[in-house]
Amino acid sequence: MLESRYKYLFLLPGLFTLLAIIIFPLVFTFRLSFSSWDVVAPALDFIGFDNYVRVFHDMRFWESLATLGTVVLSVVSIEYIIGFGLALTLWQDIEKSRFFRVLFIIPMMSTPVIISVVWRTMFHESLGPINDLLAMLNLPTVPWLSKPTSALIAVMIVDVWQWTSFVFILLLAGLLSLPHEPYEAAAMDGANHFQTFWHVTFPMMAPISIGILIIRIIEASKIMETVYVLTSGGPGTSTETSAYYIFIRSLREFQIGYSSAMSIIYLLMMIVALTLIARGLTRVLVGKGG
Amino acid sequence: MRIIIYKGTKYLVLILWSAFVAGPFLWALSTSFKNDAAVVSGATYIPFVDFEPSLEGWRILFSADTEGVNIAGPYISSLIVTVVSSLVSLALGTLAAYGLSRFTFRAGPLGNKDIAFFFISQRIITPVVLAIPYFLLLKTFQLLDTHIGLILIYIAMLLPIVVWVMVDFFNNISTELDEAALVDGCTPLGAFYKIILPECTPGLVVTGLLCFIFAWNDFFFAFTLTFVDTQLLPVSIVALNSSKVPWWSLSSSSLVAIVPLVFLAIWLERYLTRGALLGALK
Amino acid sequence: MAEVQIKRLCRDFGKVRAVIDLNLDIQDKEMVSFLGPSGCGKTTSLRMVAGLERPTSGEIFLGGKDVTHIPPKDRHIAMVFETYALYPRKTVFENIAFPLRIRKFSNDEIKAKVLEAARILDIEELLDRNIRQISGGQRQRVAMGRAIVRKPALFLMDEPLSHLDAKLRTHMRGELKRLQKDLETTMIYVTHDQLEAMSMADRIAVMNLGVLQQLGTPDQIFNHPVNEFVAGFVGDPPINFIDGQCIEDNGKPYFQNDVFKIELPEKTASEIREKCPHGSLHMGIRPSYLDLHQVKPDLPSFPAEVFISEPLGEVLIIDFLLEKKIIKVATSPDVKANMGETMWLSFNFNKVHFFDAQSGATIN
Repeated sequence: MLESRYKYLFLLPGLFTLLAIIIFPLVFTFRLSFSSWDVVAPALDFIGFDNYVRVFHDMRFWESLATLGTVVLSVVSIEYIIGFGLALTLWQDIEKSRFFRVLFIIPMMSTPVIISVVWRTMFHESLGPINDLLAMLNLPTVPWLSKPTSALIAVMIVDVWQWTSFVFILLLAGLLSLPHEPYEAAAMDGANHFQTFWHVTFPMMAPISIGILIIRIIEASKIMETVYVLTSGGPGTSTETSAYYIFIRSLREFQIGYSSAMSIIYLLMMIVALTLIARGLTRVLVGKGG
Repeated sequence: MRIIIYKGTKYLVLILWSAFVAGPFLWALSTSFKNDAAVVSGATYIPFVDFEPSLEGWRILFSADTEGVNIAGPYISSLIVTVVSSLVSLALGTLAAYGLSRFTFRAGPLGNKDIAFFFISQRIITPVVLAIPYFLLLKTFQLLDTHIGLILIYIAMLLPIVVWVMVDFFNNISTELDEAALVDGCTPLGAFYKIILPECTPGLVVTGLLCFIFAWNDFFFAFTLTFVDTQLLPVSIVALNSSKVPWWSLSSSSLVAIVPLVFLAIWLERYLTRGALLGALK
Repeated sequence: MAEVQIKRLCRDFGKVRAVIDLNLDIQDKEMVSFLGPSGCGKTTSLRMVAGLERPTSGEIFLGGKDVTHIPPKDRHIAMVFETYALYPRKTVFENIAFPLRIRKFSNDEIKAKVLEAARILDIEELLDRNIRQISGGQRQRVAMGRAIVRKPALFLMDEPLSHLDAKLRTHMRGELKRLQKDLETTMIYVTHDQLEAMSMADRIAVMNLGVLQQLGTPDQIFNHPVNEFVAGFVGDPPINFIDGQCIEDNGKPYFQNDVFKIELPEKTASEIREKCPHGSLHMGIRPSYLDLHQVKPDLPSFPAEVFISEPLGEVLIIDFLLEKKIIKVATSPDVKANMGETMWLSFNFNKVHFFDAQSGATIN
């Protein structure tokens, strides 16, 4: 550790900027949640916990949480499995696979909204290529964006398309950084591919896997733009995620006091959930290897 | 025999996924050359074979008439906002990360680790939650619908990322190097700037690229906080989505927006594969 | 003038007291070694002199000036780090030139000074090479070049030889000492290797657990250690300790333990009675001060069984078993000793130290 009387010079500019731009708005939101500010009566009054009570009775909010949970759980699991599979596939021939590696990370760098716009045209029931391809393969076409279940699946497909690459590239980097010795030992012990994976590779990748999963869960839980473009929350409210619902209440209907309360509750729940998930994952994945 | 099955599966997986990945882009490319006839009757794919190509989609991009999209303006706005906010975040964040890596800070019971966690945990906050406060904040300072207002917001969004990645890079450099510079006659800031920073170029590049990507791709804040005077790329394209703009101009503008990112992908891939972000994951 | 005065220097890390009340003075042009085991506070003390650590209390004076709160760059010191800390992206030339560039010397001056430093250290051919391309021993010289190029008044070295292979280390000891004399600088040299300290330093400061045990010339440290720790730390093979009691029998003083009983000379006995009334003692004898006999000689001596012998070429070390403890004797290679054989080890009271078994302090 170094010592210097200038040390605050390093930390404070960044810290203050962050505090100013994030903490004050948060505090303000907190304050707003106790008011009844909306389009009709824009005022910073104080109505106690009314908004919070209303949130607890709001089925739409809880449904959005359920939707969110379903989506996040599904996409992160799928992305992890496919991403890991892709990483394993490209792991051994690292020199020749540059084309694939670059190709595979393009989705995650693309603008989510713009991609969603393109996917929207693809999911079009009569004019889009997806149903067309299904028909060509003699499979039943799907009324993608007009039925709740398929709409949700459509949203998930777009997310998987986009973010599997994130999981993929980081897992690949992790695989490349693993030491050789355990593999040599396993080979001498006569392990086959599957055994080597399950007993050597997977446990060694546990810490990195946890990091990746947590980041994906955090980012996936913010999903809103895809929903906005693809389905606008519909049909009905079936594809509404929490973030989207808060968006509707705050920026569409301008029920600012109410949506602030929702935001606070949502944030607190997220923090608790993430802490629990992080702990749980650590126990599951690291416990197995340890 | 086993090896053939194994390799075969490998290639099958790769090809399937590549097709999946490339699909939307190819579709957009093909669609950008279509006109009314090619779209209305059902899905079509290959130009000249399935339909008659037209350059309408591309011409519209650059024309200034009302039907046109005129993508140049938003492009430049996005560029300005993205570059400026990335650079500022990089500067402030790297300084803070260096401070956190090298010095000890105490604020009551909280120490370095807690401060670092504070930075990084900002990512948990859904943008939606901040929308209203930011709206009111910018309105107060009359920064709504300006480049600067958006830049400020983006800096807040990017700082956590910079700190997260750079703290790890700095931790991997032995403090003896800083000390040698101090003894040789540098001030702490001089040691940072002349010796340590050049060591971190890979980290800076990765972080810079990540900043650029996140800022460029943002839709939500640009959407809520800008309207007419300042138009960012993602917003303008989505706006096309809702007004009855034909698919071909949608496709062409989408492709144009994505192109710079493809180049960045080529550049970034090398660093990511080498594990630039691995340490930060823990 | 580059004397160093350290007054009441303390450094605490939370509850851990790394350096406790250090007081010592170093003369101009002197080479002093801070010697001790890991964690004894020697490196922390050095870093405080350098200005890289802030003392919890106490003062440091360089050349008569109070530098306790002055940053390293203003202290006119140079330092060679244990891992050399060379600037990775620069050439050898640029590494050595760096301190001069910071101080805004002209390009011509820089070139001249760097060449001179390179010549002294015999690394002129390496000047254009990148740091990554040179060997460990060469890097060490570059680190030294960077230190001497400014001709500082005070040189600080933190275990500079510890990462070199054995042969190179032996060679460098002589070179370093000669360099210090030629450059006429004051030098503080931190090491855990007592051989380095003994062979190179004008005076040695032996430290343990944050406390200065003894400050003296190599001769003083070796022959007149102030306590058990110092006696045991310096010397290879290390000094032998034998437990025993000082007792009175028939009016005569004896040193006695379970194996033998030897009469003590009166002078020694009276010192023991005065400084160690409880009489519980450790007797310290260096391996080279023990002589071997096949039969009991007419000298103060005791019997022991041969455990193993270690022939080192020029000298033969024989390990003896005395009541489950090993006693090492350094003797000429001609001596024949068979495993299990009992021999007699004699000594001279002039060469023996007695230590208070409870406090470790030297009695004579």
